Amino acid sequence: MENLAAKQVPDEVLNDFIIEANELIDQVNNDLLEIELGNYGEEQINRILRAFHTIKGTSSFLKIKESTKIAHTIEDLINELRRLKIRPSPEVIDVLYNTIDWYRKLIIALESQNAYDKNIKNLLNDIQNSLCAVENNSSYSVPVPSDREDLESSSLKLSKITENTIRINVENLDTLISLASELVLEKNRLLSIIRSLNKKKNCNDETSKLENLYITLGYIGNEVQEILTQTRMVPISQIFRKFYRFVRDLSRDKHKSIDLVFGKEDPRIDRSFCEIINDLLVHLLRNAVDHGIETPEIRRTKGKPEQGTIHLSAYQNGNQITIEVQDDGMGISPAIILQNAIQKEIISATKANQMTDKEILNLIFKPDFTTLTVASQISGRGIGLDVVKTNISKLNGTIDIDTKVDCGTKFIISFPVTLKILAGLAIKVVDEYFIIPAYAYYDILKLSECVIQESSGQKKVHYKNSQIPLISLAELLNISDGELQKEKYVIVVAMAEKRIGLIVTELFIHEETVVKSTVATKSKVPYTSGTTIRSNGQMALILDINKIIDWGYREEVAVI
Amino acid sequence: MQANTGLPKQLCDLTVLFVDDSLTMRRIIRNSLEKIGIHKFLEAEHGAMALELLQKHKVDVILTDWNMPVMNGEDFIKTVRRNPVLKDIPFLMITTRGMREDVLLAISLGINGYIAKPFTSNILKEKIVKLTLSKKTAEPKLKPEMLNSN
Repeated sequence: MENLAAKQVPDEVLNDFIIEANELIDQVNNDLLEIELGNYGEEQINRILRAFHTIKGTSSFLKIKESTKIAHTIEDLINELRRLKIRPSPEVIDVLYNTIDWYRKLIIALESQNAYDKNIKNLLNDIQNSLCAVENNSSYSVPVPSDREDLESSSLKLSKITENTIRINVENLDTLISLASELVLEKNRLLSIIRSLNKKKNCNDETSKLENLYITLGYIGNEVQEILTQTRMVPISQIFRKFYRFVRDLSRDKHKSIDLVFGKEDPRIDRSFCEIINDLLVHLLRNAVDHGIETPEIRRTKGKPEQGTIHLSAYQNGNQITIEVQDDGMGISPAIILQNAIQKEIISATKANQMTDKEILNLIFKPDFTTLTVASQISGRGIGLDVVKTNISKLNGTIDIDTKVDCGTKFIISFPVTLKILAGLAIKVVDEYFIIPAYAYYDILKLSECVIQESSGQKKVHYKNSQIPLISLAELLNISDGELQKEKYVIVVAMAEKRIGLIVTELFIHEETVVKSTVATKSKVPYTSGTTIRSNGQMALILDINKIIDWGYREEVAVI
Repeated sequence: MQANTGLPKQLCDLTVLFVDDSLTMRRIIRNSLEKIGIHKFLEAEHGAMALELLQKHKVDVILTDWNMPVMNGEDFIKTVRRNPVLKDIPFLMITTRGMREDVLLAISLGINGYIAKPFTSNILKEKIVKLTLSKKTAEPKLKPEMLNSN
């Protein structure tokens, strides 16, 4: 007998299945999370049931027997919970999470056309045992609030969103954004033409019409760009929520009791950031669980509540997003960091005496520091922190640390909302153009008015009661020498609390440019992070201020 | 289009409405319909969407999933059967094995047949033919005692 899912499943059906199963499993994951957070109702349980029901049906066509079997058994389990109106116990939730894991692996295997895990005996047993436990003993369970009206109104609300939502291929979207960006560039070229017309004193009716056109075009272009950029954005909670389980499992593993609390705000971030943010949060949260929060016994002796708390929050301030990871653990002692840094000859003892606590704490982001194996409270603290820092520089962001012994540690990460469009200051170094990102530049000084000192080969400029490193971009970027007399300005740039002065030849007005190469393709020119086309059609490189600042401060720490 | 016009029809003349919230299932149904020569079809993700389509289009047979968000199969068939214009359109329920209670409920609400996942396009064809082409009048509604023979 022929079968439409026979041996060869059409690619399109398999693709649909992969997309759909992935979405359904994500949604089940979210519903389980809600249940764990105490929002347990018919809505969640019905959605979970429907998800597995759909998967059961579709995988039967694809002849993925294991999936059909698991989904069927889960369906029985959920049906029983629903029938008895009971809340699943932590054990049942664990089984459901394990099921999700199996499906995630299945989806990855199908996507990469690899064999999937067919050994489902243990999982099936676990599900069946849960089912028996639910049937036999519902004493641990709490009745489900059954609020039919609520359920109906909320499911209707949901339907409106789904009806107005369509799926788009990300590549198409990126192309659209790219095109919209070109529009902005062309608009900037128009401005150049208008300016040159004005300069030639050719001002007439036509020029002012052109100017009006420029304004309208600008308005439309901005709207298009804004909406498209919004489309690329995802709420940060999408990343955060996944960590609830991560922290829960990890702390259970370490025999610690830790509550992960999310902040109230939910800013949206560029979707291309998700992976990077995810990676660095893995490091920071693992560190917090492993080394930050003490064991319940130790916490008791310190007079702290046995359960530790990690606050994970994010907020938006203008064009900056800030993420904070704060634990109420043991904190990090600058004295111990310093002691180890001296021991490992990362810094000299004389240098150490001059360092502020803040500077000392920043040592933990040094790659060298991570190789330290210190049997003390900071062991492991350094591990991966340079990785964190690398990831943050990919976002053009900064990381800061705030810590107090026995009170806890807070990591503060800030980065611009999107990498695609960059507002910046165009500068000229000798005869080449560069862009300094708007989030980094701080102040502009006239070189002729600066007080410059030179000590041990490094120039410093006096700026607001302190000496900051002064770097000649022409020297740093190796641009033809002998023209230094042309330099006119010092631009003060800042990341976190580090400031640096950059000597440049010329400045141009603030302009919006579109970053051509982003995270994936880093520019090969040192100290730059991408390229862009300026309004006059000239190419400009975007300066990687993070790297330049690191270079400026490197001397200070490493010279012994 | 009412199925009880008495005129014999070809499969290719039929307009089929299928309702399923799963995009994979909709693709599978679409593929099978095309395979058996039905090219006029409408699709909906749930009952409410299907009802909107029914207001604008004449439909010869409805295939519907049961467990759907927004408006499930139960509410969908109830609404259709109460509507004087639509009430005679044959309904084929798409279900999975072991959903006996759902099927019994669906029968009591007046479905004309059901088909269990996974099905082949031949079985789907047989069911559709049975409901639309072979009789002068619409297939009598299913009765619970017929369940085992199906």
